[in-house]
Amino acid sequence: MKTLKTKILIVLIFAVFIFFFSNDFGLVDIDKTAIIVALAVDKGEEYPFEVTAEIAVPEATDQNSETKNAQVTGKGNTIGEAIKEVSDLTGWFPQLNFCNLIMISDELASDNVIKILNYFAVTFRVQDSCLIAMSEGSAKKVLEDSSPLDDIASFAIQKILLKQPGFDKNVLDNNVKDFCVSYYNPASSSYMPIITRNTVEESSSRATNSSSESGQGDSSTNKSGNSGDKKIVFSARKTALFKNGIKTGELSEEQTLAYKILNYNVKSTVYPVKKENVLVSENQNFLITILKNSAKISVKPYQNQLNLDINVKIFCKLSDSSSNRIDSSVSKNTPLPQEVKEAFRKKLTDEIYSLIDTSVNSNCDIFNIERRLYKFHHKDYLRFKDNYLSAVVPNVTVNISGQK
Amino acid sequence: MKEKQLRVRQICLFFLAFTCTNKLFTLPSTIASVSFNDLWLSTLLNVLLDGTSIFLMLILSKNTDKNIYEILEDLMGKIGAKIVCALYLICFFIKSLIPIIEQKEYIDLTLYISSPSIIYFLPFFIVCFYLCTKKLRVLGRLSDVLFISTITGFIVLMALSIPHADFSNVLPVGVNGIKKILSGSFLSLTWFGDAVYFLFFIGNYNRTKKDGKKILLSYFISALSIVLFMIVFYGIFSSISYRQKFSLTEISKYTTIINSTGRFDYFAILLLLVSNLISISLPLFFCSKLLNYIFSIKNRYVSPLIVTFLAFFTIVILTQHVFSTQKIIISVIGLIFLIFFNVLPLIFLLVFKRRNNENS
Repeated sequence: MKTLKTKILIVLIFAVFIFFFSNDFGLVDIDKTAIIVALAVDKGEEYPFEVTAEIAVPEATDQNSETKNAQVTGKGNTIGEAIKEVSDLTGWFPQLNFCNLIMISDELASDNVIKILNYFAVTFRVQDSCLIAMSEGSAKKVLEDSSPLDDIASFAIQKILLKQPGFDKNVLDNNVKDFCVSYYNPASSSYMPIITRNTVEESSSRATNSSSESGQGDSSTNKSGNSGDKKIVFSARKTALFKNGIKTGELSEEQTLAYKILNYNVKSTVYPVKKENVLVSENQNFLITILKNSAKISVKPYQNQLNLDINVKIFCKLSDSSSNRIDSSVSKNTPLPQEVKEAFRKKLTDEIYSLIDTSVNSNCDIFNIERRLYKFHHKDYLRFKDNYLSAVVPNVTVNISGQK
Repeated sequence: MKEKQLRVRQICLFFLAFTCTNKLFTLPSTIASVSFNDLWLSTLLNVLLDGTSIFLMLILSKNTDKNIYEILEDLMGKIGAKIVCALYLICFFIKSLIPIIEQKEYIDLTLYISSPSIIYFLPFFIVCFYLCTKKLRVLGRLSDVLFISTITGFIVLMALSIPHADFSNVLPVGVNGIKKILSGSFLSLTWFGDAVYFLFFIGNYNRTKKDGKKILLSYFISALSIVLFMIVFYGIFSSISYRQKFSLTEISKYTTIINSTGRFDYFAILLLLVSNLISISLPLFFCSKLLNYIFSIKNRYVSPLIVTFLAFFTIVILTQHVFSTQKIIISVIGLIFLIFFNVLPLIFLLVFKRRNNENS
């Protein structure tokens, strides 16, 4: 018993010794920590990079439970140096573990953006699952907008980038890791969503949500400064294409949606079939909800060409129509009219062909043709590896079905 | 018949609990830097090498009840046995360095915001010292408990990672050529060589029916889980695999749920870290046992104290030379590990068996 007590005492003394001399195991005091929730990277005048950190300042008082934020800009020759300056200016330790959004200004996209993203991909201070986006105009300005719903602009943007089940999946989001994986492949082709700020006039002093032109609920309303009637609407439905880290093209909203249908599960996403596509006389505009989608993309090499076969199958239902009379098919999920199916098929087929054209014209291999060739037709890979995009001959088949 | 220190069940669980955890840190990126999408083939080669060694050891040690020290004494006398054990001691000590250094770096870089002082890593050496003071029996008891931790951690990690892996990334198989596959295999020898542990179990466990099959099966379950990990790892990171240093932390964080709940995958990671604590202490554990034998030390604290202090100071000194240490160990000493951990044990057992057959 006596020996046991001595052993316990020795262990306790040792434990106290460790705790005393460990300097809290190197942990940084929470009061001296700046929790950075988003970063905006702009082109600087003096230095190549200007990094604006959106810092969340938690305030737990009885009067105000909202989280306030502050923006601090640091400049530097490298991203790391600019972030270090943020720390120097504030006296806070920049805690980047909660940084979920990195916004890059479109000005920087004319040069290789990997110079920016490499820092975030390699450091352990930032999660490389962090979302990336390109802003139209100044990235700093986007972070400075504050929302009536959420004071932190980056939170509002994340809502439109990351869609929960049940929401429309019409934004082509990307993160640091996936961008780098695509960049370091031989094709070196990648993408990121473009964040646009649209000013809309509203008469009410406090609006909750406003929708963009097509009204598909993928935008977030924000108050611009202190002007009560001017609202900023963020949208992320357009996509920037990158080749070797340099922006070479853009996908329109329709092309982005078509790409999503080809590569992701877009259950519950709506697809508008407009007037000119519909052959029926009365119903002019339709809104179709995709219930199930699958796509098979394959590359087949021939003598002088690469056949890009795309086979899409969609199961959907009619959600709305601009009809003069109430149509029971909307509420009862009855079979889709043949004309609507045909219009949808034609529109989507055209979008996919235009998507392929954009990919070829911007020299950006968003269909991973190079990788498909390398993995599944390695013998032909060497023959096509330098000109695979120009050798592509697309063949798109779209099958639309609904309730039978 | 005297009571043995281990049971067959415990040896099986030993392989399940401790052979895979130390290979989930820097090993995947190390192999990927050489073998690229064929990293799993390089791993498979090492797994087959160790599996074959265990298989042959099981066959060659079938009719003996002697432990490795007695076998060596029979073969080359007491002095010869002590010289061989001294060489093994050096090998085990060098083998222990990379896993401990990577564990230290892992904790330093991923679990702390700033760089803490070396003292934060002291608890590892305290646990290691305590483990070294115990007899071989302790490994059996730890295996009985910690296999749950390893299996749970691994399954959770895989469940979170597999949906995000594109398995076609490992295609086409063998495209990088046999030279690169063999290079990857050679560079990773430091992390393998688990067959040698079985050498120390010979004569120390109660034999039962079909024990060989059970041991071999449990080894291969653990070994194939490493191969699976490599495939999933490359499936997720493909072209940037070589620079994802700590795959254990990297692999599971792309699940959508983590965006809203935070890094709950750290529960699985911590479970694996607990098992890994014992896994990386194993070479030092055997070092202290070998030291006891070489110098006939009876006091159970002396050898563990020497071994742990030596390891601690070596790690402190090498903190500034991690890159060159790793380079030397994996590129030069790998061959020595291959000889000592896979070839020599088989030669010892083969000669011992032949001599026994001649005598009988």
